[in-house]
Amino acid sequence: MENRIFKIASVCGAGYATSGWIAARLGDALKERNIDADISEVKVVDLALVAENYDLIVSASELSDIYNVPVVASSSIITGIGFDETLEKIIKKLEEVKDKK
Amino acid sequence: MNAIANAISVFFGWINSLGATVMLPIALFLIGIAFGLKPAQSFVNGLKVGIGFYGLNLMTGAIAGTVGPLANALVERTGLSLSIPDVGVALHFPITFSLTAAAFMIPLGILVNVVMLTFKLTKTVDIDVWNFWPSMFSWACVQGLTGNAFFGFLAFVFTVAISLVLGDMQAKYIEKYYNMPGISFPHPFSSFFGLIAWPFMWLFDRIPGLKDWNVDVDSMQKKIGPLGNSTVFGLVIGVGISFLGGYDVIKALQTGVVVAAILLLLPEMLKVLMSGLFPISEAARKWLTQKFPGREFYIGLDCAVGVAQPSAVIVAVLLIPITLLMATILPGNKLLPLADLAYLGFWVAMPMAQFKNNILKGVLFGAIAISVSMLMATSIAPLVTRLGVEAGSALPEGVSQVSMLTIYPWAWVTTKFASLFTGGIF
Repeated sequence: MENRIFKIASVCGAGYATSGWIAARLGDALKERNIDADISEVKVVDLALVAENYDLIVSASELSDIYNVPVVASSSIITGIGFDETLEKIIKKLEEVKDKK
Repeated sequence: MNAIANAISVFFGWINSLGATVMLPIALFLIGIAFGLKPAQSFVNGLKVGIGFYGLNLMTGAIAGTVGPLANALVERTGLSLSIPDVGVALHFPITFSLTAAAFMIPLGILVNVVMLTFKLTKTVDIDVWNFWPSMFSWACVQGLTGNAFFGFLAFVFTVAISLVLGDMQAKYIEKYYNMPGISFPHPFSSFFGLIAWPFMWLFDRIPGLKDWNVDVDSMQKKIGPLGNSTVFGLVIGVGISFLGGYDVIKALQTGVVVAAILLLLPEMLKVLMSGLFPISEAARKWLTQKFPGREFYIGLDCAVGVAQPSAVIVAVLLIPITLLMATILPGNKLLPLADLAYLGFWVAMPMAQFKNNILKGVLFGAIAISVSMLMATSIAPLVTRLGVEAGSALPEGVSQVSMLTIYPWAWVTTKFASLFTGGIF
């Protein structure tokens, strides 16, 4: 998955605390697998107008993919329980959108 | 002996004179080292917290020049009594972070949590150190009222402890209605309003039609979601209040942009500040989950997770006009809601699970809960204004008080309790 920088929105209610922590951990985990990602924290009420700018949304809550952008629930990234499964899910989704622009 | 006492007081005087932008990075550097981070990493992290805090202070100046005159114009022209602008985190942070103890909130909070886990007083392992920050607000207010740091410390411990206990009791709703087993929100904001929501769970189910009222959450979120964008409604509300205050078109548009800027830029500053805390969070999480492993514990997260639930998002958007309406008609309210309008989801972060994601229940409860907050914000305004000014934050031009809509309820409760003995503010 080289040569492609994925744009990921990390969503929580406030847009700086939980989502930022998730973004930091996810960024590190993806880097270890040589996946380049540009992850921004997004406040959930702001998501509707910016969702289409992203390849993937990871949300601390369970959101449906009503914005035509794939969504993965991300709280396990900070709880640690189910971390690997979530990471696999995220990578699979990124592979699916790889060729989309 | 006198010489030693003298040296100690000179030392602490010097520490205080550093100010939060210097003291915080130093303290967080040392705490990072204590948590096993590398010195270089810990240094940069501490510095980021100082930088984020400095950025927030810069915003305070910009806010002061705009929201003060705006509130003034509104009061004079309309006769509404909304003379206390809500400046949100721009007031929160100077007050908590000017406390010397603020740098130690993370180890202190973890200590309270570990003691309670050890004595089986809680089942929540609070891995998000950010949850301790709102509890510092209790400390700041009680110490500010009584002048006694120990009473402030007690208020902090109480707030952390009750949030853990209530977090345990509310976790079952998070599992069932947010589909997140093993998670609790030991957060002072959600724990309080989750507690208030309990009688309403019972009451709402006795109102005909309300119990089973339902709507397709996804399609509703798609429809009204865009209205919740904080920059857009910041502009709309800024312009709207300007017109009510009799501003001309140009000045109204300029004011609208500033209000939108407040809603966008304050969180941007917080992002910088927070980024310096994640490595400590991460170290704390690893240590705690090693010490308290297994499935018999809840993992404590920030209630921002609840705010991001689809049902809470819809309620947050619907509550924007309702909050502004309530502000004007609520007897005794003087708060002009502004900066914290972007965070209305926090009032229902926990209750939406208790209300089984029923939007109408959430809106009804939200209107009541936010009214409670407005009255708390009004009554505590003299104290938090004084503390803000003492912490060096600028008072908006032309107003005598500021406050914030997201006033932490346990801070209000502990300060109110303290005031029964000391008198003062209330």
